[in-house]
Amino acid sequence: MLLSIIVNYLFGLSVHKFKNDKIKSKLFITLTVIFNISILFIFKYLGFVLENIRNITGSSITIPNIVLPLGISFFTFQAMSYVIDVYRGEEVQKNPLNVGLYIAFFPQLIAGPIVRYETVAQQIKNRKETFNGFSDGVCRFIIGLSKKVLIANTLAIVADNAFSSDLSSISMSYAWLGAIAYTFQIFFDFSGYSDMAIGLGKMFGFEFLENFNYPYISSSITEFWRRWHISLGTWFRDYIYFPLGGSRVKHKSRLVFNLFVVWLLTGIWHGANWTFILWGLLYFVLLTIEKLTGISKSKKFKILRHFYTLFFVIMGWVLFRADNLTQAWNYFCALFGSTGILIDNTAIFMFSENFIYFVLAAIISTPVLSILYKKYLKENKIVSIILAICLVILLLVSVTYIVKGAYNPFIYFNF
Amino acid sequence: MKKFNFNYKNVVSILFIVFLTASCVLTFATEPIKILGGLARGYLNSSKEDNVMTKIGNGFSEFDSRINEYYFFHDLSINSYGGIQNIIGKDLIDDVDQNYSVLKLKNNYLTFKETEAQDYSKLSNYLTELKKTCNQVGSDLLYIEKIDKNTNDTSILPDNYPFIYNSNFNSFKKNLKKNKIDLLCIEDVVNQQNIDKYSLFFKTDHHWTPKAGLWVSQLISNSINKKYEYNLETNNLEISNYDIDTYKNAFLGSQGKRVGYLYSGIDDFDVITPKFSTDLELTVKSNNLYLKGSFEDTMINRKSITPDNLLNKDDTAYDTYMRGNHDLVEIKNNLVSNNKKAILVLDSYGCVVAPYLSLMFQELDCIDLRSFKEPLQEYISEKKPDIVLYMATNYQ
Repeated sequence: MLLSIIVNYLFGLSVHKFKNDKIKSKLFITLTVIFNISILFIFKYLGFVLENIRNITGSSITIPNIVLPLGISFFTFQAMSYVIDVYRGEEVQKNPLNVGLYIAFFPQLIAGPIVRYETVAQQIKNRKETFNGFSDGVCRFIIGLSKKVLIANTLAIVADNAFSSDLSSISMSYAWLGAIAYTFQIFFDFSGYSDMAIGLGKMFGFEFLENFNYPYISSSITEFWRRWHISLGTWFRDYIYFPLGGSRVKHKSRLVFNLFVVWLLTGIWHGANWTFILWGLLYFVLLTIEKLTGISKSKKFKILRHFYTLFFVIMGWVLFRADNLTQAWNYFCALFGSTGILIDNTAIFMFSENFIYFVLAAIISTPVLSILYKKYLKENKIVSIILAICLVILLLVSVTYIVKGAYNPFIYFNF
Repeated sequence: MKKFNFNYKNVVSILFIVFLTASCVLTFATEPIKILGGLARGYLNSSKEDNVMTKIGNGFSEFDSRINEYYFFHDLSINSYGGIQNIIGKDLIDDVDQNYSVLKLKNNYLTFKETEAQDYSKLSNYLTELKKTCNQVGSDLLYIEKIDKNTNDTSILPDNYPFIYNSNFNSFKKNLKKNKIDLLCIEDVVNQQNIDKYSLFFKTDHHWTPKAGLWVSQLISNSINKKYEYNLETNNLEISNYDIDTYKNAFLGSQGKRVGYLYSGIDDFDVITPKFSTDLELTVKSNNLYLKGSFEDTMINRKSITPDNLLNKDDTAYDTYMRGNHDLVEIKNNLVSNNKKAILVLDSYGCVVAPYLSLMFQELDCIDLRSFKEPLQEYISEKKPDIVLYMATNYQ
């Protein structure tokens, strides 16, 4: 990461210095991309590529054991964002510590959100810390912590148990329970981390953009990706999709190609595994269909479209969660009843044990509470007191779960 | 009218800072040496092959785990966690290590969720070899199958509980018979006598209660008399010959410590000492410990009973008996003159059995194979005991 900070700092200065010399600035921006992608490739994908070459050719290539630095995908994308935005006219940082602050800012370093340089360029030098901003940050942090510790970690047990079960004898209902549990787990885990990062940012006077906006209420895949991991979506949109021509192209084949590139890269970004690549390609297919047919713009059959979206999102998470394609395939088979067992004690027990967490997860996945608060309760003094008490209780309860050392998986090792 | 300006977020943030500050200051102020010592301990305990960075990492890792262990609000947090799980109605409290997930049975006894089937195959082979050694030195060998809380009884398990406990004990039993190794299966006795097996256990711990320990020692002694005609004074193991001091709400077992007493409840703890006179010598060479005196002086350490500090990981009332687990405890009974020597291979279950069993033999050596480094067969050949009592599932 230190190397990444120093080199990208120098690239930033060079791009800025030659901003009027198109050839030289393009040369440096190209070098920036090559350098960052090379770092990412060596640490993250080299082993995967060599393993596949070995499997295909049957050769005896030695696969180097390279330790994956935590959050490499996040900080590499941020580093690229810095130099590209300087190239596009944003202010260059003369002080390398400021570049270091932007790339290595600890709250969002390992689990995002990916903060584009243009969104914080001014804040690096001119942010203003206030007690109200700090207080906002604390509340946001507590909410994120609770999402991660109370809901995501608890439902992770259900998901992990289901995915590690013998898939030849798992019941259909347990397979669905596991898939739904993972659907909630990844949302509450990821959005919890984002909330904590945004909260910590606020405490230090930074305003990061939102990363999630109730993605599970979407009624199309297009809408889902406008609401899910927004910082990644906008990164790919601004730095890959738009430069390729986006959707404003003459031929539909070019649009399809652009979508293919973006979603292939999105899949690869998530990890060096065929499951992630296939997961990205699944979204390429779905989004291409939506774009070509205009389904996402339709206002008919909203409930039906909501189910269609959730169905494919859940299928996508199964692919995403599986350790390999064989496990993913076996899990899909189990979901559609291949084992012939509709329901069993495991499904009933795991559901009844975690019923309250499923209910909470389902409610908090929707904006119901937020709407209620904004519409009826915002100016109510008693509600404010209750909210303060609730937040403190949430903090204390989360601490009890952390001290207990309850189940706490970290799902970003691949990222 | 003046506009409402109460900012609840300000209040929350102040409480947040107060809480964090209090947690840090109180934790470090209470156990500064133990916590900071973790840095050095983690570094020094690293293996020789580790590089400096790994060693530093190990130091921080140990430091981190000690902060968690000595966190000022640790006990309060664990109990609150358990209380919350109780309110939610959870029957299974998952742990990072699934083998330590705690299950609440319908009779309110806690047990560990068994995730792996108990495999007796290797123990079976080991006992076959041990039998040969015993035959060579002329010792009897009795394998004692402990009773534990594991059950597949659906009337006790939570509704729809899906995880079935499995073991290959039946084939192990056949192998013992084939190799002429005597067996005392406590579960069989419990079933024959129609005893509620959970009455033998603490509610919050997987171990037997001292009363059960006394009962098991009687069972073993009777079995020895019957099988090998030793004429052990088993009347001395009648509970009527003992004083029982009950410490109310004084014990939280290892299952209870994991979930807190608001979930598990608290056990009473009995200290059971003989009414008749005793004269024992207890030696633990690895701890430089030598005690001589009555049963109370040698076998009992009431300082381990700490009802005010139930969640302390280091101290447990269970260590009252035999001063806890040791690799080798040598006990001499100066008031028994039957010239009988026994070796008891045990694990922690044996702590409440061995003290009473020592009243039956002139010499009793208690060996815990989890820490005993010397080959057991050599030890048996050297000591030539009359009997080897094997009450453990560990082997070398």
